[in-house]
Amino acid sequence: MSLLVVRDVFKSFGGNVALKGVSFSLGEGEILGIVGPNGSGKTTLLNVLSGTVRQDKGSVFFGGKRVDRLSPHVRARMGIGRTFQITRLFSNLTVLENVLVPLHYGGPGSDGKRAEEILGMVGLLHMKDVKAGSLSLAQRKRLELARALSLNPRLLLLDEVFAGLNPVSVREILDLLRRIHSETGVAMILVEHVLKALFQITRRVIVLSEGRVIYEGEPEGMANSEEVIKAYLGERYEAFRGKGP
Amino acid sequence: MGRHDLVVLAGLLALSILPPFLTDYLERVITSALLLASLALAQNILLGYTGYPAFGSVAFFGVGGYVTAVLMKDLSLPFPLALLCGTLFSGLLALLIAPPVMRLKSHYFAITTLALQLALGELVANLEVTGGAQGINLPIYRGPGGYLIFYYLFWTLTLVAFLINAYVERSTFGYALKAIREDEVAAETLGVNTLLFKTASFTLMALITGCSGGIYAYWITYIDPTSMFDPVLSVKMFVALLMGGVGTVGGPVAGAFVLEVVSETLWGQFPRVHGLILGLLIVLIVLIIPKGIWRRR
Repeated sequence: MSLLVVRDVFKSFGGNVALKGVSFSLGEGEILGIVGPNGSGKTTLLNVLSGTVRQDKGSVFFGGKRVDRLSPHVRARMGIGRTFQITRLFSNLTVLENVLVPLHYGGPGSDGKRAEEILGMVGLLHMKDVKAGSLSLAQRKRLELARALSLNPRLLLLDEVFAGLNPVSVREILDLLRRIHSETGVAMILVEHVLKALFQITRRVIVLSEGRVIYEGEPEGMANSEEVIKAYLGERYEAFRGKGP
Repeated sequence: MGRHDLVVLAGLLALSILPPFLTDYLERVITSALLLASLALAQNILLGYTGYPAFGSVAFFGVGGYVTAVLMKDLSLPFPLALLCGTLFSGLLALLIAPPVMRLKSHYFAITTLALQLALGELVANLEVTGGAQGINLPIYRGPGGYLIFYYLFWTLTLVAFLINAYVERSTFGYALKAIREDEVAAETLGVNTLLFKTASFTLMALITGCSGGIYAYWITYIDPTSMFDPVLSVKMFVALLMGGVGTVGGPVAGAFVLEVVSETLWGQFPRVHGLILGLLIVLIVLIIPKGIWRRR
């Protein structure tokens, strides 16, 4: 049975249709990449899945239960954890307190030892008493991961977790994600622009363009998809390519 | 609690043994400061820890005061019982209006609470049971202790509000409120039932504010819509909170006492321009120490 089933989801903001009938499913422990040009609806899709935005039409099933009418906090308690494109930490709370909140309200309970274990896993234990607002971008991303992990999640939604990081940090986060996956078996959906990193962790990608799924399959197949090329490079390029030698 | 907060707590405890050494005037000034401190501490739970500024929280001060007064006058209820009803009624009103009101954010929320304060003031001014614009006269307290009883009532309320703030500062309940203050969307996605905690915070604020209004009504023995729903009281309470330090346990108390003492001193020394000097002082304090005397740790 699939862990997550998304069926024919539509979402518009005023006249701008962000999602136009998106459907896909995800297995237990599977890692899925979602790519697409800016404004293609990737973040909206994550927002719909985590519940911070409600879809206009369609349904979302998680663990066999329909969740699309549930509040974000209920979904979090069911095991849907997420990070944000622009990190949303509790800046005036310490690193440890940032983890204690989801542990207590969304996870198994505010256990200081468990909080330290999680911080150790993401490499932030030595900074547990530092205010979250003073962390570097890479550390902020790690802390967001730690908070999401505190929920004991079955599914992690990661919104551009590699964005803005230098190559060393990208490699470190990549290693961290691999370790989290092998230790917890959590399923992951990564919305990502850094394709080189993404393709090192997933064998299945979905390409969104103007709110529609235009490609689903292995990363290698993307380069041969006319629709994907058109979405990234435009119709004129496609026409130019057609006329080439 | 931090070291600064313990100093404030020690000061508060010392106030309980001070009355035999006070003149009537000083007793009245400290009672007023304690009233202001209780309001600022109540607002601190909502603004300081939850991040929601209720400009019109004095609405609950009026409700608490009027319910206490009406029950004492019309039903001849004894003051303690009337005060309890006034306090609970304020809390109940907050609980009922919180679900729609707490969905609003920042200035929309602030202005809505201000509208509530003005609307309730108008309502009370036009109801027969509240005495309309004429107000209500209450019997003068002639029991043991005389007017000192109000000093101790406000002192107790301030101490309770202080301890609630200290609890919020360190408890998991407080973590939920602070998470909402820092980033409500993130808090929701991490399992915090934000509407529930915002409602709890709003109701706590209303209970303390309503109780303060009930004590005030009996203290001054005459209430009318203008004095019970007074926007100036809202402003004073916010100034005390800003001066003391928003989101600190001891700050609101320190701010209330500094403001009351400065205000009284200026009133005595410069009766004609005391408002102007006070205004300038407030501007200077906010410019120089924007996080308040009790800087957030």
